[in-house]
Amino acid sequence: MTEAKKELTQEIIDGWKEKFGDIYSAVLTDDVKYIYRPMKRIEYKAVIANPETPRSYMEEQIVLKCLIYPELNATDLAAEKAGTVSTLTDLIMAASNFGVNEEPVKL
Amino acid sequence: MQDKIPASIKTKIKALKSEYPTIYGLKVDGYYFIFKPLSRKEFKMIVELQDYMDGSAEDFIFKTCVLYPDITAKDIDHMLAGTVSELARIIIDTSGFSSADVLRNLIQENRETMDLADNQITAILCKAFPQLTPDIIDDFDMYKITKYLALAEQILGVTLDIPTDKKLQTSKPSGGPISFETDNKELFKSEIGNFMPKGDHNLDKLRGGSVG
Repeated sequence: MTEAKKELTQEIIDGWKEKFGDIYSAVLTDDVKYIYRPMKRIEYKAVIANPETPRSYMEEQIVLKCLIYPELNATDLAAEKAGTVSTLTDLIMAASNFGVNEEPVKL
Repeated sequence: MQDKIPASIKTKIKALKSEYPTIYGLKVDGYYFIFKPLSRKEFKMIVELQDYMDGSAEDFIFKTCVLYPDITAKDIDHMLAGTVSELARIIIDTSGFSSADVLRNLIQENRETMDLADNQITAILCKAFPQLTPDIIDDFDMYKITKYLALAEQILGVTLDIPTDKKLQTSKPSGGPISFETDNKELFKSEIGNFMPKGDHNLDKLRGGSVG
């Protein structure tokens, strides 16, 4: 972690909401709470700009952009459990409206 | 889109339907989107140019087909990443070009409507008056349609049997009423199920017989 783990207060959370809009939390193993935000289109396009980029690198970029808490850098991510980055990426993608199941209606 | 559509969206749908023959609605994350399918020309352009579109094919599809809300390129950049990608995917799916199954279903759906008198009238008018297209005929009122239909029947030597409501409920013979494969009038008369060929239409008239 890049800095000592902050104590989460409602004030901090409200500040993030004001800054980012909708934010989400997920508890993975070891009761570690992660707070993340959805990804904007412009950020997503930057991540996928090079089709040669390995998927694992793209996942790291997504998590680095959208994970609000705890604050992690690339070195921290490398030390996380193997599936954490992929799981967080899936959660961020879902929060970003990927995987729409709604069927369009002919009007 | 299944829940109650707000009045403002209904008004927009009404306006767009008068401009675009086929439109779809989808509610994503609480927002209503109205879109049109890709035309064949648009789809072919994307297929041909996607290697040069620098990953912006989805944006192009979104901008081309989403009719409501009115979204600028700048707005797209700040939308949630998945909204654009998912709508682009759904637009391609509903456009029918990417999947043989979708295409087959659309063709089958349309074939099934060919038994409707409305479509049979359009087919007869196109056959009798090659300069008319279904889109032109759609602009006719019923008076003009029936006048052209009567003329078409004279030209083709056939009479359209408009089924009554009771008849409509009975099973229909398989196969379409018109063969476009031949211009042979005699063959046309003998092979068409829903048309009632007359021996001599004018003679029937003179004898005071039924014309229709």
